[in-house]
Amino acid sequence: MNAAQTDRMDILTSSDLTRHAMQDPLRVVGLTKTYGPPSNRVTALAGVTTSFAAGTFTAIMGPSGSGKTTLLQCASGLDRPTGGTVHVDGREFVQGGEAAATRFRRTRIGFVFQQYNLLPTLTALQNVTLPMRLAGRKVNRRQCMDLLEQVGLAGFVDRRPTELSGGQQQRVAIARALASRPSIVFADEPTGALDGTSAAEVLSLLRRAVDTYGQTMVMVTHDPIAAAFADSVVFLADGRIVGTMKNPSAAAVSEQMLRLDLARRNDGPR
Amino acid sequence: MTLLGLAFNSLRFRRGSFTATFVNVFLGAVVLMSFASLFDTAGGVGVSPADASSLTTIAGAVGGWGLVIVGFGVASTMNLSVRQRQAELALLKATGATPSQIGRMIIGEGVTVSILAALLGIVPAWLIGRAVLGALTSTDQVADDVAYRFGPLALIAGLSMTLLATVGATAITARQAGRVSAREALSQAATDGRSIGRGRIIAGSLLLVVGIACSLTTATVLKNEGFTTLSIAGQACIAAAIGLALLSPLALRGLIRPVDLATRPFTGAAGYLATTTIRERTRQTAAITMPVIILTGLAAGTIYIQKIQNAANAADGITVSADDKGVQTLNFIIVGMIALFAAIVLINNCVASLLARRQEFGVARKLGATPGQILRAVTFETMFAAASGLALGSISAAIGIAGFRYGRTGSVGPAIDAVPFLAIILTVAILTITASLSAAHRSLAVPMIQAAGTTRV
Ligand SMILES: Nc1ncnc2c1ncn2[C@@H]1O[C@H](COP(=O)(O)OP(=O)(O)OP(=O)(O)O)[C@@H](O)[C@H]1O
Ligand SMILES: [Mg+2]
Repeated sequence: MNAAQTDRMDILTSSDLTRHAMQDPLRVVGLTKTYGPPSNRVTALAGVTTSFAAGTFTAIMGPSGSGKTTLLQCASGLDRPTGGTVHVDGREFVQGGEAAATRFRRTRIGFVFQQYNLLPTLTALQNVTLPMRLAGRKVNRRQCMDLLEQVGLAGFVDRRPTELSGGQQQRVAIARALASRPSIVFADEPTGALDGTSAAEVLSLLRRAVDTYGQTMVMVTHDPIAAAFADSVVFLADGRIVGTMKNPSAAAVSEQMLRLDLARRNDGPR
Repeated sequence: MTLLGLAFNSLRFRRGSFTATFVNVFLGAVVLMSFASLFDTAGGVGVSPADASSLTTIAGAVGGWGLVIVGFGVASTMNLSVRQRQAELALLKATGATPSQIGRMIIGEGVTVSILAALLGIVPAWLIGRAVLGALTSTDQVADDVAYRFGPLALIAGLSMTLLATVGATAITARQAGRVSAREALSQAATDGRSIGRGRIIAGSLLLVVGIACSLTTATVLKNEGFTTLSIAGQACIAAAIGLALLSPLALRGLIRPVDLATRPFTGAAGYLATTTIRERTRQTAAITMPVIILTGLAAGTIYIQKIQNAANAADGITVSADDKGVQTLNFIIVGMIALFAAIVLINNCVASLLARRQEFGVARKLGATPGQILRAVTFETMFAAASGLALGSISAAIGIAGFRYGRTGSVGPAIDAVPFLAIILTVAILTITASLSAAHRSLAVPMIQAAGTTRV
């Protein structure tokens, strides 16, 4: 990452909210999420406050089960947080009816699901255009084809998900999330099923989306090399933000993860 | 855990689709056993040969086609529920279950449900059979002293036939599930029924030909044989209806293209979702179309044939005897019961198929579909399936009616009174829309994250 990007970043954690944060396209305040009955409560998020500035690329890292997917789902309005608020483009996310929440979400937010979530009855291209159709927008076929080509699926546009490999399905899901150029894109382990070369291609595509169109990218990953494509990294453990890093390099990220892991072990599992 | 244990486990978890099978088998067994008990009654001591013969004729008339329709209904629901599990079965295969283990599991589940349902059907069947005999004695078709018996024939008919239908339907599906690779099974589960079996097309065409042939007979050689003509005309409707039901996936596929083109400007994303689903999962749609065809063909056929008969009798100055009245009433009871059965199959298939699509709806919601869009897509699909069923059912009824009318009156013009037909359309529309929308509502009540689950669809 070049030094010029440094001043563009303001990943804010816990109490250091500044006035910039209020205008950020995405801000979560005191987000908590618990699952299960009181007798057997699982705390997936234990109070997360952070902000993502426009045109930034943030990686979220943490051990399995630390709450990364839960954070993305609550921040994107897919799931209802137990406590706290989500602000998108300066407006508090409407947690009213599902229909209203969906309408608000689908014009602003793109999501690459950890489980892909392609519709099996649709071809790759139809899957990519579906969110635009659902939102009642004009389908820009050319742009969708271009995106599929950029993720290396030019020859696969008419295949159905079951006729694609796992990595190919994942790339369809990525093209779908970017297709309508939403201002915020959440990607849950978007390179989890990809080989090194395809992963690098996809990550450059995400990077370009941020640099060219000013989209705000929030990506969960377990891979320090993938995290190095981001402007900054947020480390999550046991539902809390336990650290941040600006201008990450793969080596620095690996080192930090080891350190956090060690600290956790010394504390003993919660 | 043994595979049988797994089967019981899945019985508990898939309550929806098993309830559907259960209700179908239960009602089917009731219909079959109540009429088969008339055979038992005919065989009782002190029943005169004349009484015995009327009883067996009536029981036989229901027996044949009733059996076919019950078998067909049970099979269609069974098939639907097993198809919806293709992915789960593929997963079992991938984790090391052999095809024969899977086959045993599916058949074991089906048989368990069927036996339970058929056994529970005994008491209502006994009551209905006794009521039918009461109707027969009060219209003087059999002597008053004929005693009702519910015996081995009723039990054998009820249990063996429902079991046969269940085992038959599950065995075919189990064999398919066992034959294909895990990956293929997953893909089939996704795009179910893009190919339609040759056997199905041949059987459907044959039954359609049988229906037309029956109709031609009533128009020509058998035109003035009283009740025989009447009953052959009815059979023309039933044979044509079952034939068209078997061929319905072809018809649906042919119809969806023009319907899609015509409606696209108004139906938006919901219509888009619906038409792609109908195209890719024609058999799922056909599970709604088929009972509508049978219901319509049977009900419209019987009502109009009886109306034509009555009108012709009146025109000829024939006074209708009490006997004829009795037969007419009985005819309506029989057809009514079979139509009721078809209606229940229809409701069951609507509910079972929509509850099983909870996950698919969950994914669509995550992608930005509002609950309203999904409900509109479901309405579109259901209305298309029901309307196609009404059209095909009307054709099958028309086949039977036209021949009979020509034989009886010498003309083939359309029947005059539209009220019964409109009533059928209204009934079908209300049944399908209410069943589908309430099931879809229930599928949508679950939060989308939970509904979409974790499977990579
Ligand atoms: N529906 C649920 N019911 C109960 N507990 C849940 C549910 N969903 C998630 N959890 C729990 O919440 C915690 C956080 O889960 P989450 O999926 O956010 O983890 P993650 O960081 O994305 O993990 P991974 O890296 O494995 O994807 C985990 O302990 C998980 O077991
Ligand atoms: Mg996760």
